Amino acid sequence: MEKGKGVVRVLAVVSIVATLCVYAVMGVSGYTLAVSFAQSVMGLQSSGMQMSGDPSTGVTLTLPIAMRNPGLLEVNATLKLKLLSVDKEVIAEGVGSKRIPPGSSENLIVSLYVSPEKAQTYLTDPSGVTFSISFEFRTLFNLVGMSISVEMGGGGPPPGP
Amino acid sequence: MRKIIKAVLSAALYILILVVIPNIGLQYLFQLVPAGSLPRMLIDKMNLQGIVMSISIVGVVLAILSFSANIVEDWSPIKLVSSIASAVVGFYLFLLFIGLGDPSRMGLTQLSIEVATIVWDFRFFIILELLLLGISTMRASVKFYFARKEHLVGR
Repeated sequence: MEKGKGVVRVLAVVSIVATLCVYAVMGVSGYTLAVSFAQSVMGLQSSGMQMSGDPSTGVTLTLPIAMRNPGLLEVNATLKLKLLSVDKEVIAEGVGSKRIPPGSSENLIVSLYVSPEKAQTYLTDPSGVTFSISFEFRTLFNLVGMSISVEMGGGGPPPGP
Repeated sequence: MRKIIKAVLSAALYILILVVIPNIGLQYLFQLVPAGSLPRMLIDKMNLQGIVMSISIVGVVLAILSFSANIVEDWSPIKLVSSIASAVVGFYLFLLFIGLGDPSRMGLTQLSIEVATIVWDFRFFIILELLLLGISTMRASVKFYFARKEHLVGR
């Protein structure tokens, strides 16, 4: 019967250690996601969209964002920008991605180019386009993540100060 | 007598953590956050009252299971059933937390507020919790097996 008690004891230790490890992993990755997400969303709010070119040559929209990762794990940040028509047709899109080591900051610059034909069709009337921003954060070898998507329509200005 | 005290205390702990504290916390939160503010909109959108109600129900179930598991001997089948049911209900509680009150979301939760949509992808945590559920079930079964064997030999 001593053997049985030994097995039960080993299983109890394994169970406690596994539970502690799982909750530690959840806590660390949850904390990393929450703080880096909050910091970067604030960075998104304070960053300004830059526009270059004109409808005859094509327009390039650039959004630079300063991102910080005060968390404890590496974070993979992805920013997707989309310019949509009223019928939700994609006029132009741009994607940028950066790996941010724990405790460091990175600048992510995302650009999208609108061709002259599309710029003349859609950008002459700003109320006819919608701007979609999707911000995604993943950590723990990209196994867990958090994202926010915002759509701004009706000719509202792109995010900026 | 010691068994009864242990059973009552373990049940009371579940009631305190999952019924009393969340309900008092919710009342306090409603007093703290003014109506019409953005955090209040978020709270209303998340249906926090519904989540607390679900947590309270799970808390009562866990208290009953804990009481029944602690009041009987290790070799009793009631102990085995209660221990496994506790682990399963605990897993359901985790799904409830992760899914913001909706366990069917299985770790992929979406919340829409005005023009913004926030998505949490915590499916990996569900796998980890399933692993813990497996370990708990195995531990309860092995404990029951050896206790039963010892009981039958002793008779």
